[in-house]
Amino acid sequence: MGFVTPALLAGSVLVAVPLLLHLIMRRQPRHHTFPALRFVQQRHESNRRRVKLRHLLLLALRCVLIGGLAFALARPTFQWSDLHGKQGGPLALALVLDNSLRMQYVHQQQSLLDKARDMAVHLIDQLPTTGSVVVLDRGRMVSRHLSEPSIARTRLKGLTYSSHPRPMENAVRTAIELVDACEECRQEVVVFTDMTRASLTETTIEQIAAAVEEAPAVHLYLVDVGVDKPHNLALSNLQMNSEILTPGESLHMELELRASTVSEVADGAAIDRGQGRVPGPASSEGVSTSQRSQKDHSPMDDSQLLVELYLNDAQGHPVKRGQQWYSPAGPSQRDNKIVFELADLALGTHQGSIHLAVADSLMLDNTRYFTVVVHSPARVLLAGNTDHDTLFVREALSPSVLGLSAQDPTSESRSAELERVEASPSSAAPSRADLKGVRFLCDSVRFEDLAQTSLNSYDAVALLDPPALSEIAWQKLADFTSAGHGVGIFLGHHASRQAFNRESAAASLLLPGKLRRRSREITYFSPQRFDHPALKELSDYAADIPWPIYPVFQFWEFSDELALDTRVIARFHNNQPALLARLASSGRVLTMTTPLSDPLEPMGRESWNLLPTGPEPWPFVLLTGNLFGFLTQESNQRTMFQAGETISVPLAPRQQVSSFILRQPDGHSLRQTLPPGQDAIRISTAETLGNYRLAAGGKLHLLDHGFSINTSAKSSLLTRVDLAQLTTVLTPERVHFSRTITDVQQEIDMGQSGQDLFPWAIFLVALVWGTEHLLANRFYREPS
Amino acid sequence: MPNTEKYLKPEVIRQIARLDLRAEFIVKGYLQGLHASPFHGFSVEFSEHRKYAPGDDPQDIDWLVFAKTDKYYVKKFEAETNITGYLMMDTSQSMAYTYQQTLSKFEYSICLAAALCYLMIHQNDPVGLITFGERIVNSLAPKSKRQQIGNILSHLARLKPNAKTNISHSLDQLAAMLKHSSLIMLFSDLLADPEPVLSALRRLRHGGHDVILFHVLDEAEVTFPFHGLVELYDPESRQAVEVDADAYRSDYKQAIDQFRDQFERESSRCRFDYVPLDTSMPFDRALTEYLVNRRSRG
Repeated sequence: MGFVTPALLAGSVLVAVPLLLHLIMRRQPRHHTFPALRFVQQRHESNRRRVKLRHLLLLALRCVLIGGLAFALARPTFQWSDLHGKQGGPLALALVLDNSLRMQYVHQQQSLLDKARDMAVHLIDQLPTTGSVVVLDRGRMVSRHLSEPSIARTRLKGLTYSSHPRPMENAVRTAIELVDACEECRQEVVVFTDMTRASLTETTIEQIAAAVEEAPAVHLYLVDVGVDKPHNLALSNLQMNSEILTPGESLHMELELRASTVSEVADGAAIDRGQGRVPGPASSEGVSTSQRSQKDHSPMDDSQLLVELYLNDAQGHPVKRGQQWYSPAGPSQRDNKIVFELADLALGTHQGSIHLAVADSLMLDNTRYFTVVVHSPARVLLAGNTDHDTLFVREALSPSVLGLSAQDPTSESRSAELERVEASPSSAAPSRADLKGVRFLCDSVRFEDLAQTSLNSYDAVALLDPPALSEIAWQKLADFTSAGHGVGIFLGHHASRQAFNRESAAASLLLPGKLRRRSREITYFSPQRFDHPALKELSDYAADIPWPIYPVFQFWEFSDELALDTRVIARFHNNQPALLARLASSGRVLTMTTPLSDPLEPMGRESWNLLPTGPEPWPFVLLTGNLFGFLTQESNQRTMFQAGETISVPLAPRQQVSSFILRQPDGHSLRQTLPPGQDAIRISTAETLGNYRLAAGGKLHLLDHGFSINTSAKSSLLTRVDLAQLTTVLTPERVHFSRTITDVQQEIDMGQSGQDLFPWAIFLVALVWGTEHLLANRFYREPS
Repeated sequence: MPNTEKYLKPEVIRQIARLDLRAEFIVKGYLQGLHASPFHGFSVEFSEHRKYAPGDDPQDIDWLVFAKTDKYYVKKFEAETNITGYLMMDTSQSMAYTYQQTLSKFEYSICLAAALCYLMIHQNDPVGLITFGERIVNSLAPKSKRQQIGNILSHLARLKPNAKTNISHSLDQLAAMLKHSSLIMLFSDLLADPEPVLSALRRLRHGGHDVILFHVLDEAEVTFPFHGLVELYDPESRQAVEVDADAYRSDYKQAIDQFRDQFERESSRCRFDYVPLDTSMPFDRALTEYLVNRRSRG
């Protein structure tokens, strides 16, 4: 209980006035002579008690009247909570709305964001106009100051979804800081959230609790706009065998169909049938035979749902390429994968989507988009001391069993063959069918011929156990990397400290540093992190590769003074650098401190390692493919992005792109200019889910690239946060939980300034006054 | 309303100072009103003439008949039986009370007694006067001569209600005084313990006397017209009581009604006449009661 003007409570001492009047100025009765007094006296005692009671009642009413009047004029307020507020101050209110895509969930024909928006608008409407309000969301645009309610209302109306929301704790912390800056204000922060674990992670809760602790005057209200038992059918993240395909290689896609509840399976099927889609045999086009035999059939029961595969045609229109009936897996089920395969894709960029034909409450995760690029195999020049020195690497990159082996390892024959393939893509032989599964086309050259070999047609050059090279060769390689290509240096026993350490300036652009010594410490390859593109493909097998059975007997050590742009991306088990990367201009240089193609029993010396000759060849093949994929920039090309990621499309130095057109999923095109000297197109505004297309050069087709934006499957998880766990961190003493805006409104009114009781108090005073007046009139009625 | 009937109203009678005129007006007004009343042809009316005989009151000679017939005839009334009446007047101090400053209970009673006296004398009934307080203070022997009117009225005019009262004792005294059965007309507010009064009345009835009890109260004593907080003072007992008049009115009226009902019941049982009056009522009620009683005895 509080008072706006407590000084007026002093007026309650006037209660003494009626008491004094009652005691010293008692009203005298009218005197009448009345002989029939004996009849009066018969009931005088009861009448006297009644008169006395009325006197006391009137006295009490008058005392209450005066005291109540003083009480009412002191503007009593009733405080709901015991939180400390700055009484009487203007209101500083921050409204934080979760506008992540998950808030698209429709409940009672209203999305959760719309519900939160309506509640926020209602709250603003109820607040005094003197207050200042700020509306914050989880998008990138952050309001930095409090404003008038009308501006906040406009901001709410324009609020849209954010496909890449920033963490909730950031928005809440910003809100707390904004209201906390208004020191003389009542500080209120209202957060509208769906109370899902995706929204309120443990980190989020802890961060919010810490922010609340730092601002003791701030009151935080968590308004739950979510649904207690959400129902959702969702497609999981799309897994593809590769975003870059070689001609003839099939696109293999896997994903899962998940239901938040088991009962939803039947519901979803019902919705699907209600849409009028015609169930039947799936289209066989592009779908593997084995999958068709299992899945492509009419629904066997009501719980099966239709999953469709669409591939965009040349005009960008989706064309159905397959459909399958699936039973969604419950939250605990596994191995219920949906598999699609697209074969015989032509060279170029292909885009499409996998769509779950169900209209459920959350449509966000019913569609997954994909973009895949089919392009020619990368060309790699393998330089060795002998042709046999390149054998292992060549076989790893371009296996002879695929038909395009290095039977004729001359560069001329390989290039001619490749040119034939590209010139006649539709011819029968040696068409793309012969190149099926071939990522790399390899040519070999001896080191002494390297300086005279043209590198223009290659994407990468590998120096396999290089000896001392001529200045011309180093310069040529440096120019090669400057042109955006890759050079791999795999040091071995032919390298010498004297020769490499006195190399030219061109060599210093490629080598990571000075050779210090040749180490004979037996160790093995032991990469710990796989975030570098050169090792990314190994990440899925990191726990399965038995590196210790591929011992490394010798390796080169570099001096501690490495080039500034050098980065150690993998080490041996003894923590010595094994793989070093440099960004030479726009190209890439990889240096491995032990050879990649050392024979098992070399003549006249000991083997440096058993990487290519170990018991199982697949780790070597995997590692080699990944390294050369990095060198040829193949692994640098990405087509699949999560919402919010910055899209980077690398440009070759010879690609003279000054402007480009970005075609968005909604069909609108956006022309943008690229500043000169840019080696990549970077797009940070692609937040709409779907397929994007980049084009430049008009008919010249200088650039034709595409990418897809999807949202993470985790972002659509609707699992509710455990309220008990939540309240252990966000204690009710500091954070209020509510489900209706009425609760918030009452708590804001009553929790800070308190609910103004003046109307009630003055009403009671009037009631007492009326009663007193009535009784007094009756009691002291004048004779007519 | 006939002009004469206005004299039956206390507020009109109050304007007349002389008591004999008051009585005359009351009786004439009353008798005039009887022409249209069920009492037409009542025994007090003139019924026939008879020849004048010595000893008759010359005033009874009908001079109109003498003018026509040149013989003396006197009026003969139907009720020729003589009833000895006693007007018994309460002179207690409470009888002087008036609230609206009209006729006090005492004045009202005197007017009524005077009228009855006037009426009785004109019927040749002897009438006497007894005044009492705590005991019988004064008495006039009943006579039927016209001079008796003057005697009684002059006596009544001199009375002052300033004594305490003991009605039962006075009635007992009266009962001891009376040798023959008489009509006793008691004028009192009866503001005393009712049981002794009733006992005394029973004794009178047992002695063969007729009793007409005129219970005269002030209008305020019947209606209790007070409002708000009042202090009521009894001059006789010198007691004062402070009451909330509005809250107490219904209780008071109930008490008064019970009091009157008690006398009403006793009057039926003991066969005396009880006439509850208040000072706002016309006098005809009292006169009618007397005439009804007179007729039943005639």
